[in-house]
Amino acid sequence: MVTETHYRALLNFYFFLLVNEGMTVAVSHRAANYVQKQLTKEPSQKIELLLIRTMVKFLEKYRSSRIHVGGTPPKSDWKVKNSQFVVGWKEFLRTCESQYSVILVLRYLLSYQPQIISEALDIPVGTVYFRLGRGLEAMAKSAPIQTLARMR
Amino acid sequence: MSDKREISCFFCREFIALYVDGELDPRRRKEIDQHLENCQECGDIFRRTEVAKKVLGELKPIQPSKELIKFLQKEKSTWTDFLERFGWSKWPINLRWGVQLGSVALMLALFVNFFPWLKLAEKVQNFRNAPYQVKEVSKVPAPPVDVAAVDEEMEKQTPEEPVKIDEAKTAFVATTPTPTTTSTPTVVAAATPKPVAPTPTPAPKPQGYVWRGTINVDVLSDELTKRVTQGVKKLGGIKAGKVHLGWVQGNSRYYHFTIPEKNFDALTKLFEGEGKFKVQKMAHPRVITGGRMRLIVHLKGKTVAAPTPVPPTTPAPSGAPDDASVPGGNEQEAKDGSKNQGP
Repeated sequence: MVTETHYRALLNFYFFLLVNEGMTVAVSHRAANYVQKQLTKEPSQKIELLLIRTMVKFLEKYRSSRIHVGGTPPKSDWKVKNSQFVVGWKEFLRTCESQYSVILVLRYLLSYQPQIISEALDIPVGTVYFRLGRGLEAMAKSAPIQTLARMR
Repeated sequence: MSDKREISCFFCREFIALYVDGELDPRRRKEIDQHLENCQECGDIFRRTEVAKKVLGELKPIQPSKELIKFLQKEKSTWTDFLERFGWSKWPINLRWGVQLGSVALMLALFVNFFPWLKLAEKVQNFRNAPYQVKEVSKVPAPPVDVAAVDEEMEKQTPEEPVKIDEAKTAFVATTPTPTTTSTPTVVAAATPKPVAPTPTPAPKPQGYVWRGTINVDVLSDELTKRVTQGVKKLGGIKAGKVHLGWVQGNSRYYHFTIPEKNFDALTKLFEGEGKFKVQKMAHPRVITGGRMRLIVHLKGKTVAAPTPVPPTTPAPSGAPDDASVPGGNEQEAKDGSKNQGP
């Protein structure tokens, strides 16, 4: 069963990788429905793994498409703390490779353990750490991030 | 020894994530610390990476409202949303049914009105006037054929090439003949389809057949020719062309005749008794009726034995007396007697 926590994880994942509220709601809705269907088919699946797998799958699928979910979502009252950091993060995403940014979000924003990420994405743990390292290096070299760091 | 060996810059950067997360074991961490003290470039990268991680920490997860999560939990689609806008679920059941029936009726009316019926009718018409129609000859009533008229028509046409029996193509040897009114499907050409009103199509022309064959013998003699001629006549054979049975044509003898279909087996045995007999059934515009079949047989010999001079009483045609080039040959003429009769 997809709970509120899972919805929050989905919304956060897509928000930080798509940086678009409308798209985030639309893709989260579809991903949640997909997860729910998969769980109905095979209830023995680990929901965390399925959720991460679905997140990445739907991100690749809908990254460049414009989709619409029926109905008008409630007025956004998302509490985004430190919005200037989000702007810097958005700038960083333009230059960073998708595979690194996905791992960074999963690890540092959604706080999934590298072992779970590796199991979900079917890659070795070493690869997860490698991508984390490369992502952090890319952040270290990113000018907007360094500017934000100096502001801080 | 291994504790004293300093790790490389590449190796050091491989552990950057683990180092920043604090998940390295103490021994490895100590090695990296030693390397960072000595290597300014790596130290700079590590410091900036730690700063980047702190920036990541500033990116706090968003807190979506409960309304938004409830909104996502509902099964939503554009159609259901459209209906909800009009409070569809609150409408009385009779009204809902009425609206649904009205919608279906409207769609049907639009379909009937705008469907391209004319194009469909044209397609059906074209399909019915297909260029080829396969019909069984046996089911088609054979119209009375004026044989003389057919022969005249054949005469006007370009004469056929001389008979060539390709042995490789002779599919069967002395098989039972198929009667002319068999159920063999025949392709009858029809007029080019035109999008006009259907006109009564004329009855398809019946298909005729001719059996072309050769008897290969070692020595071709006059006795053999006479024997074959008499055998053919005994079996009810009547000459069908201008020339007589056994007409001399170089190193072969020419037999163009009709016989009753029931005697074909006996004829086959007769010919096989004289030599190697091969026959092939071929389509032909001339239709022979009355339970008879038309044959053109060449009696060929490797050598000709002692040619006896035969006084020519009838001038033989210069070309090959094929059925096409020999007009007027039919069973009616044959019954007339000595008219056109050869020696």
